[in-house]
Amino acid sequence: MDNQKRNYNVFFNTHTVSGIVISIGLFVCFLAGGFALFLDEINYWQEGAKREVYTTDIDYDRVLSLVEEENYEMKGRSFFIGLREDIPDYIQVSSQALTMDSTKSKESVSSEDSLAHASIFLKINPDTYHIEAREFDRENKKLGTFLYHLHYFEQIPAVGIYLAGLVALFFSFALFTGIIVHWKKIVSNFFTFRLKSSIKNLWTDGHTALGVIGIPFQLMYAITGSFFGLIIILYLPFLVIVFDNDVNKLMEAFNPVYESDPNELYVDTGVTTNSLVSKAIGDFDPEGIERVSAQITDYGEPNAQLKVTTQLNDLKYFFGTTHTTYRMADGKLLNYKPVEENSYTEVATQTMAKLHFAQFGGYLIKAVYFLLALITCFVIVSGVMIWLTAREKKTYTHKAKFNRNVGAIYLGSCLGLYPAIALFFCLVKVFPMEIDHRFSIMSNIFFLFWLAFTIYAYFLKSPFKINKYALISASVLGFLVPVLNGLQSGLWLWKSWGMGYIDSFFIDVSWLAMSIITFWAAMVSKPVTKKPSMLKDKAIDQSFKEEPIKIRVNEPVLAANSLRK
Amino acid sequence: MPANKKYLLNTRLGRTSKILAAIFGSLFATMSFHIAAAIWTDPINALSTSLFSIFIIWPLLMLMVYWISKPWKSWTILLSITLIFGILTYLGKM
Repeated sequence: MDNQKRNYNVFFNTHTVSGIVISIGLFVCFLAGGFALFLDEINYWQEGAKREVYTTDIDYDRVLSLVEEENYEMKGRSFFIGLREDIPDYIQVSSQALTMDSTKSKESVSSEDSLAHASIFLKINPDTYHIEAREFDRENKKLGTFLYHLHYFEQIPAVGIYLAGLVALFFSFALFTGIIVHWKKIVSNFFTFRLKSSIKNLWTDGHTALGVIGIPFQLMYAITGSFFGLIIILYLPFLVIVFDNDVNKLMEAFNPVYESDPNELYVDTGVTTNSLVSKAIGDFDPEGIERVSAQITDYGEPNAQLKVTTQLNDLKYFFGTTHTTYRMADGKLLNYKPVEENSYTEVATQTMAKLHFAQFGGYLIKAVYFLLALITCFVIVSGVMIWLTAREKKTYTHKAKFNRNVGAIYLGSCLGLYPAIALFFCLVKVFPMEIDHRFSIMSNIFFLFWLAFTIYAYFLKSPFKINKYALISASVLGFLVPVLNGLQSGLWLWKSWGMGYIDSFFIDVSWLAMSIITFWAAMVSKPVTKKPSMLKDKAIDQSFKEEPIKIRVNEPVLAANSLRK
Repeated sequence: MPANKKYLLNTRLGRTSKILAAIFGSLFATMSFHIAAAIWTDPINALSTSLFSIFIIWPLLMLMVYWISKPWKSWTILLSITLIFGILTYLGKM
């Protein structure tokens, strides 16, 4: 019996500590990540652009001759050619640097030679076949992409993604300990929601009930998130010990190369790359194709191979990829991987990516993901609130000030992210276009606003006020988003749908809805003046389901304050 | 509500040792197991499984560290797992 008590207390403590340590980071992951699910939509909205129908006909031979005209050494290179979805779409050609002939001494290598052997990145216009850029543009100028980067802390130099990976790892630890702590009452607590009891009970019931609902979703994100963030720790041990330090051997696991017999006799019939690609995608319904890309290995050599990868629509297939490999000289089919047959490696990696990025089931799944992400945000904040409320007792009076400050900073930085994101949406529409470094100035404003709100929250102290100001500012800024978009691009809410600008319409309507719900939530939240039983407000009861993160993060401290009086 | 202190480790050394065992000890044990599995079975399939199973087994071993009350016991278990699978890996590579 004593042992059971000990286990309960130990796991309770580790659940609390690990949860508190990762809380802000995890909140950012889920809120920014929730927005980043709609990365493409946000980017199209920002540019006021219409989504084009994906075109599968690229003139591959023309692209290759374009590269050759750039005076690159072509023989022996491996190429990737494919259409990239962007605004506007472009054809990407990329190739790694060729290893220079080692017999040449360093001095005899001319600069022209080394340029010809350098790595290639070309951005080609799919309509005019003009080369638009010769280098990969690392500077991001899109809001959706910015939020996507924010959700794994890419703005923190060098270590951001590993920090995110660690947060995800401790998230799974917190999940496991949470399940153990609540295991005995997991069923009965799930059906308990004591709105009329004390505020601490309310936070606890909300935390456990919504936590239990979210377990599958959260566990999936804990595992896939650690995979994306911490994959690096697998790389070195596996490379050195299992694959004998041979990078190619390791890479082959993920990108198998079909070996053809070099002694086999065949005639170079001069088939074109275009005809091979159209042969590869010929059997599929063109409307069901998501994207097509070509990989060429050992270009110009007798054994040059062309691997055509076709990605089919993800509403029909969960793993919708096929690979078709041809020998480029005579067009012989070397290998064909049908949609239904996937190697275990492909299944493992694709499942994790598809689950993490919600790339199946279209908008409905993304909407469900977004709601579950908000629920998770609520679970995180309510966990912090339980911790704070539990420390509003007499036994903690010597630490009361410290706890209040910590609570204010936690709430300020968590709740401040929502108005900060709304502000960024407004900024991309009003900030003058011609200013240099426009996007980095805007992102600095975003971070400063977020920081300022946290500092303001620190001075405000009262969770009720922090919550209320965050909600009101977010709702005002959120309401401005569709208005400013209409003023800037002319794509007003009532016009954009009819004109075919679906993404613009979707983002505007979402912000309008979010702004209204947020405003209403701000209005119904009241400070607790007398006793916790004041909470049995009907409006609060409903709003709890609608707005999981933002509602009433306010009462506990006030409730406790009033009790103290 | 906060956990009863009498059940928790009260020495700083003990707590630090547990945290280190939970993070690094569990990582070593997990990695050695997966590498031995990759050596003795199909390396590519084993690697594909490790991509996610490492991130499940690692936190589970963390749980074990906290479940066992004495830090030195957890260290013994984790390091012997590492050692056993290390030897198995060595034998497999021979």
